[in-house]
Amino acid sequence: MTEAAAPSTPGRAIRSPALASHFHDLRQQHAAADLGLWIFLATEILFFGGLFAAYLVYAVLYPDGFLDAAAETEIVIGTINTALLLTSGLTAALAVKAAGAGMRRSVTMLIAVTIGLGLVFLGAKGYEYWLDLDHHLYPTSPEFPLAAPPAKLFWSLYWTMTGLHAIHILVGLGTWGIILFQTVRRSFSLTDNSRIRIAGLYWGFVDLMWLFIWPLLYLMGRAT
Amino acid sequence: MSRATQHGRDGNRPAADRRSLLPPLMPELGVFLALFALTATSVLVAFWSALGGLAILACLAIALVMAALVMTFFMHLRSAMAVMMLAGLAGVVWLAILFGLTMADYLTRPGDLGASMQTPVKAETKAEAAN
Repeated sequence: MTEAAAPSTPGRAIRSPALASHFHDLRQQHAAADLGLWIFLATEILFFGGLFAAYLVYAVLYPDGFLDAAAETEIVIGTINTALLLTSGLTAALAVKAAGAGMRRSVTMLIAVTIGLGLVFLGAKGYEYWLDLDHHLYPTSPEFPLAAPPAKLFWSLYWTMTGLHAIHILVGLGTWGIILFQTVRRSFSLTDNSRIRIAGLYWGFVDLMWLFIWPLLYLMGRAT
Repeated sequence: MSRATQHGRDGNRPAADRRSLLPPLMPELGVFLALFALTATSVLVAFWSALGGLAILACLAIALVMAALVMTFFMHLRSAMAVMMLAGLAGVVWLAILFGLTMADYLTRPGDLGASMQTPVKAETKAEAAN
């Protein structure tokens, strides 16, 4: 029994201090963190899925009203935001790669850029919301500019889908912010970079949802 | 190789390498450029008047390709264990059930599509009452 208490088990490499006691090795530890987040993302797919299903039903029932209503969204801002999110997806993926290579300086820089791009996204989104409100494009507005009743359904979905997505961006930014702070403070070893890996997965998911929200809310109804 | 890098077992890298500002940019940068090209294509398709209201279907098809690229390269499914893909797929399967059963209802209601928001039972009862 004394052998079990020894720092290294015979026949295996010395245990890394980053390795939690209940895992066999770091690879297993990383896989457990990744799998946990992928299961969470599966539930997130269904969280957004309810809104996508609502959109599907109403777009099939009222195609004309939806095409008219969608043509009123701010396509330039929406497309700029798509570009911003794809770029932040690149920096986040590179941050995960750099973390795997133990490049702390690179990780710090890439996470900071990712956060910066996310903040610009939210800024653009806020400006867009301000424009939408200015154009009375919210379903309870007495001066709602579109005649067809289903247009209000579309605009309800617009606010809910972009709002839920913006909340996810906020959560992602908070997560990246904490990890950036910890990276600068060197409060964790890059040998266990699970927190960076799962933040990267979450950010990738937020990217994914936007890839479907963007055509549904902004590209719809332009070909007339 | 990429798996070893990702899992942080690359401890033998020279210290100078670890201090450099960027990790190797490929293939992520190439994927990023492809995603930008697909974004531009999607915008062009959306404004292509020949497609009319169906342009959205083409845009969604492009979105599917972009999503696959993001998952494979930015979310590292390329080098992940199969069980991660299964977990993600489980979400997609349940989503398909959600869409499938919902549309199985709306598409089989009586009358023209969208003409009736009544459930089949209600419509039948009404028809019987009219007789």
